[in-house]
Amino acid sequence: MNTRKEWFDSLKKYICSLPESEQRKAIDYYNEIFEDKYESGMSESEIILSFPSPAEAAKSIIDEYNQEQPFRYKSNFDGVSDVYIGKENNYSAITSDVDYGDLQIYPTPDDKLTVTFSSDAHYEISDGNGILHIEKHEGIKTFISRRSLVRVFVPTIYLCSYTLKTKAGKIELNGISGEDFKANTGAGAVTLNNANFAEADLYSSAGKILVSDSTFRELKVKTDAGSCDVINSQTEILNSAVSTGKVKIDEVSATELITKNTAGATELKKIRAKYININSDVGAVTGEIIGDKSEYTVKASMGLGSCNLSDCTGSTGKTLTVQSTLGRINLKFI
Amino acid sequence: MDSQLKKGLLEICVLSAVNEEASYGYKIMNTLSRVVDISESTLYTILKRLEANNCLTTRTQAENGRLRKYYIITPSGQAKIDEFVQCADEFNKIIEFIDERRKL
Repeated sequence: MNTRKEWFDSLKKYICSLPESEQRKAIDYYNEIFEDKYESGMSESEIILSFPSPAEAAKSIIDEYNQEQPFRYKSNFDGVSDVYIGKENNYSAITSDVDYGDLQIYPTPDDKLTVTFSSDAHYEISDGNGILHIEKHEGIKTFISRRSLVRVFVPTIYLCSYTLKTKAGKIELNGISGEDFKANTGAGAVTLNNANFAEADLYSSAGKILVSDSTFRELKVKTDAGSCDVINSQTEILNSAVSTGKVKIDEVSATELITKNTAGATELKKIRAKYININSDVGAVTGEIIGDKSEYTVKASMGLGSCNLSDCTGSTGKTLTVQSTLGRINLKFI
Repeated sequence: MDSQLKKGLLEICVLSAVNEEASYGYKIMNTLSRVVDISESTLYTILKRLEANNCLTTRTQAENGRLRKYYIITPSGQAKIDEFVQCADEFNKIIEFIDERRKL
């Protein structure tokens, strides 16, 4: 890194993701200082030596630019706009706390993380320790009845963790990969389509959870009075818990499938799993398991409920455990 | 030194460097070199922030066949210096206090 050209070429490469005008400002600034130092008698290599490295210079340019963004969006915000946040390696996690708004997360083909607001509310985005926070200001009450939407576009190879919360809004993820994903919604809905996560933990109190065409190492879904559907997906471990709501698991293959049903209904369709554990207090469980009954070691423990399966010892190390206090369990092999 | 504290002080230094007359990047660095070491990248972020906060405005003019960007202090920039000077007594007392406790 000895010549002026090398130094500036390298800086340009580091900051190429910034808007054109921002790049221009930074390049002009360093160009001018270079010229001034040269006129004062320093040689090209002395000047380059006195400069910060292109990476250091780029870091402070990008950091400063990023810091200006929340400042801009902290002011009264009305209308539709978007904000470019930074390169993907600036962030390892996204968190949100959006009370009444909807939140959608999509992949983006370019390398930029962008947040789009479509809102009549006041949002605040801030960052720190590699985490991007999206929050809604408590603000004025009248905003609460209106809808607002935040859309986050994430680079496709963006490995990070997501913790998203909403009281009454919808959380939607489409085509996103990441390390872990936590969603918590009160009366809202969580939708995961074409997702790929090591761990996903989804909770809805009275809302609706829908997972489709996705892959996980471990998937946990929990709903109190809401409904939860997992369709056409793969996971090593699937853990579902429903209180008075409804769970539907359709075309899912798993190593281990655990469903716990208190007073709700659990429906299993076209299930492929090595270990299946079904537990129902007073609710009903119906289902289809792909395979033959003779492959499974079946343990049925029934209280006052009914079950159409009897205990047996299977041949292939697969186990099926069903437990019911007062509920009905009706399973068949297809 | 704590980076936020240092940045705040450097902001006042930069404002003071352009207080008498408009100045440009390299000249500001030279003016400040008497009191504090400031790198190109630090100066860049400080100038940018001061401009964003309306403490400075800029004017680009041609000189010796090239463009030079001049930074000009605004009334709110001057107010910032005044505010600091008014607090200077308090700062001195704080420094005295810290020094005192250190020797205990």
